[in-house]
Amino acid sequence: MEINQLITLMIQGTKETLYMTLISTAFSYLLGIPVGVLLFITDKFGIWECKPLNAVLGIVVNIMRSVPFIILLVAILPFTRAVVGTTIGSTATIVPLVVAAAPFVARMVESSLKEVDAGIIEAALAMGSSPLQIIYKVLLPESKPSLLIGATITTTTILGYSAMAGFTGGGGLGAIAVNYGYYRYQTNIMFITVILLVIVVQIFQEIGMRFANRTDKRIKNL
Amino acid sequence: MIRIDNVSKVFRTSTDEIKAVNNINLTIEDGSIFGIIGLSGAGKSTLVRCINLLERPTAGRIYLNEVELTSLNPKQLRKEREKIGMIFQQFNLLEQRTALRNVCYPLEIAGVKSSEAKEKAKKLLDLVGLSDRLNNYPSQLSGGQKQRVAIARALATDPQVLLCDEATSALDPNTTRSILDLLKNINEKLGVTIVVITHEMKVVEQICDQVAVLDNGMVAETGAVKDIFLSPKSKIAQELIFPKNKGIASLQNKRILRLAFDGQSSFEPVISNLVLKCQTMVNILGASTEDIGGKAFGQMILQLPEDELAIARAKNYLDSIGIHYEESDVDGN
Repeated sequence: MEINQLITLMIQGTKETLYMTLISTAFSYLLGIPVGVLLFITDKFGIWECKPLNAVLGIVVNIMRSVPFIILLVAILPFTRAVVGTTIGSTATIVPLVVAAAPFVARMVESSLKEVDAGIIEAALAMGSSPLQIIYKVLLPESKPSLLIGATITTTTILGYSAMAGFTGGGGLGAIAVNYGYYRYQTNIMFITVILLVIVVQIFQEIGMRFANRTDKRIKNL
Repeated sequence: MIRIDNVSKVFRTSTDEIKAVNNINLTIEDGSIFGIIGLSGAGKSTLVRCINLLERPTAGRIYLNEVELTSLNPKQLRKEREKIGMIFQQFNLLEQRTALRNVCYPLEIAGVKSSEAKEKAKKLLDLVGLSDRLNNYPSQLSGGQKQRVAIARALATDPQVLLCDEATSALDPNTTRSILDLLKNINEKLGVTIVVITHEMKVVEQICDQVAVLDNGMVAETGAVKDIFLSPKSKIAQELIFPKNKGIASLQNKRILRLAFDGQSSFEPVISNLVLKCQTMVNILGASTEDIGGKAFGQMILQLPEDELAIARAKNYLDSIGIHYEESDVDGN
């Protein structure tokens, strides 16, 4: 393969990987935040305690998280086709990525919210806050640094999953690694994609942590 | 006026039933500073949480100015809670908001316009002496400053009542004193009724008018602070007021006088005068007194010789300068 072709291939792959990862992260959060908040507030002693709902949500989330991603990817192919009209390419990969990541995000959000001091919630209740006001004005803003760290972890996890989707015709660097490195034994190309993936992960991690630290007002001198 | 009417709170665990609050009746008058004192586990924190229904009583009723809080629906209750401010031992400020925005919080949720809320919050932070700390985050403030922000926040919706749950227990003695002064000041200036939960008699002495002594979820004794401080009747009140009395009194077969200072001038050399004027020896067995703004608070336990005449003279002298005292017998009662 010529060097020009290789560069074009890698740029295309990186773009697709970023596209899949970022869009999937966004959709996972769109679904995962409400579920995570519900898990937290319906829990025992929560501001909207509701044990049956909490139990059902918890079980559904656990089941979805138990299915290995590569199995889930194949199992929901009909669903993927129904949603985006195809089962191959980057856009088609977003569907299983969101299905796999949303329950993970829900648990991440739940654990971030658990870090909010119960005393702060009690004080907000004592001031006459409604449950919705507590969610928007207390829980989410107070746990923002932890939510951002969670988002960083989620993004890199989704990035890893997206590479796996290369096996079923997904796009991105993962697909390049599978198609050239695995099927054609072009180890050098596989090696380049892995290095690119490492760099992307490093960049996400760095940006995420900086952002989280900058927004955390519990840290002095910032 | 707050009326606590036959309130009980039972916590049920899988194996056990704990009666944290047991059939309590109390009336807290408007504009007073009411202390609720007891040892840990006496039920005082549960009781104060029952007032604004952070804990829902398992039996009984709570009234705030003839409104029965225990009968309200959640929305009505939220509206009533705006009339009851609360501060906590751990301050419970929003960590990701500045002092100013913390004080704005209750106004925001009450639907006050943001510009008006900011104006009001500035005034309140000025009242608590933090006008130079508006844009600091809680992590940049000391414990005393945090509690001041919490007080400003609790006052934002012009409450009629301020509940203080061990508000000074996490603070050092000097800061405690200044926070108590601030509370007293707020009570006088704004006429806010203050309910103080504490395990320290000192706090009650310093600011409360009325006090209820709690033991095992029940009111052991209630009345004016002066009366209870001078002659505590219940065992628990005696323990809280002079915890070491028993040991001291049984030590000696002599006459013991307990002097109570509740705001007399601290400039007067009471003990020297007692010795000089009454021509008697006194031995100070124990003392815990404090000078607060030129006034003496606390108590002193004196041992006097077994001489009726000298004791009569000493009592006479104490009467003449208006210091309350009480004679303990040898058993320490």
